[in-house]
Amino acid sequence: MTRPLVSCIVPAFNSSRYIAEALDSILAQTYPLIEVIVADDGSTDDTAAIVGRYGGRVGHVAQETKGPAATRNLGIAAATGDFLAFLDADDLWHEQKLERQLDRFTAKPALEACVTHAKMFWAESLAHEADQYRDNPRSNAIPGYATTTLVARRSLFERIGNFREDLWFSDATEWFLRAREQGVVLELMADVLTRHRMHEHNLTRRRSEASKTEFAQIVAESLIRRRASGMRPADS
Amino acid sequence: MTMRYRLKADNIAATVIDGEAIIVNLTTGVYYSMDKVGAEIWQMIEQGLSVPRISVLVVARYQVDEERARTDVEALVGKLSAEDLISPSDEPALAGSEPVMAVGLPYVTPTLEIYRDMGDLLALDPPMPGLRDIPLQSAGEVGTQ
Repeated sequence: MTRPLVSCIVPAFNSSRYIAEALDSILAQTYPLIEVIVADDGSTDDTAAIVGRYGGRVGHVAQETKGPAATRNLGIAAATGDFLAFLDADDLWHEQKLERQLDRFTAKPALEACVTHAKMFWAESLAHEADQYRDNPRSNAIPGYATTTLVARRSLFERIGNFREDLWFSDATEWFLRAREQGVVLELMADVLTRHRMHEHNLTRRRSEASKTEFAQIVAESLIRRRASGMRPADS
Repeated sequence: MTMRYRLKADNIAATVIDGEAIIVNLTTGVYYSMDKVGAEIWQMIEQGLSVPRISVLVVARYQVDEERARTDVEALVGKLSAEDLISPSDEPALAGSEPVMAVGLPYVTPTLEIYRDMGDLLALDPPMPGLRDIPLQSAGEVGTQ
C-alpha cells in the first residue's frame, strides 16, 4: 500500500534561535514520505538564511507579517500532501511522531485528525521557572489540543475551514472548538510526541491580558453557537 | 461572610458579551456563564464593591426585596468562590466604580451555569496560570516583535 505524503508546516517569525532544532526534528522522522515547508511571516532576522542551508529538503514561502493564523494558512496553501502537520519553530517532535500518528489513520480510516500528548520544557535561560512549575499539573504530559501535535487530513480543513486570521493567540483552540462542534472524528493519543518549549518570547507570555481576552471571546462565541443547537450546561 | 472579593485574574479569562459573562478557569478548562443579574454582579465584584453594597445595588435596580437579593448574592458569591474564580480581598473599591443603572427591572435569580464539556480541549493553549511576564529588555537579547 502506498503511504500518503505528509506536509509538515513550520510557521516562523524571526525564529532563527530555535528553528534549526525544529527542522532537524522533522527531518529525523521515521515516517518516510514528508515535505517540509517553512511559512515565514515576514521575518527580519536570518530565519530565511537558516532555512536556505537545508537546500531542497525544506521549502520556504513568505508573506508580509499577518500573524500566526495567516502564516499557518499560507503553509496550508503551499502544501501538496493529503495530510497536514504543523510544528512551531520553537517546539520539537519525537522522531516517531508522524509514523505513530499515521498508523492510527491506517487503523481507523474514518479518522480525520489525530493529536498527541505534549510536554513542556524550559529553555536553559528559564531554569528558575522550570523549578517553579515542577509541581504544577501542567509540567506533566498534557493533552495537546494544539497545532504542534496535530496531524489532520487536508479534507478536514476543506470541510471546516482554515485558521481564523483575525485571531492572534487563540486560533488553534478556536479551530479545535469548531472542529468538535462539527463532529470531527479525532483521536487523542496517550503518547507524548511533542515537546513545547517555554522561553522568554512565547507569544502568549508577551501579551497575556490580550491573549486571555481573545481566549474568553472564542469560548463565548463557541458556547453561543452550541447553545443555539440545543446544548445545555452540565449543572448550575 | 467575607465582605469583599476580587477576581482571580491569574487563573481566569473572562469577557462580557451582550450582558452575559463568560468565564474560563484556565487551570481546569471548565467554563461558566452568567446572564443578566449574574453578569452585573460579576462586574460589581470586579469593581471591588462589597457583598452588602452589591446587594443594595441589586435591590435598587431590580424588583426584588432586600432579603432575597442578599441571599442570592451571597449564594452566587459562594459558588464563584468554590469554583476558584474569585477570592477574598482587602482592597478598597475602585474610585468612582459604582454603576449608574436603570431601576425597576424584573428580577431573575442569578445562576452560575457550569460547562465541563471542553475541559480537555482548553488545557494547552491558554496562558499558564500565574506565569509572570518577563520584560523583553531583561531577556538579554533583541525582542522578536
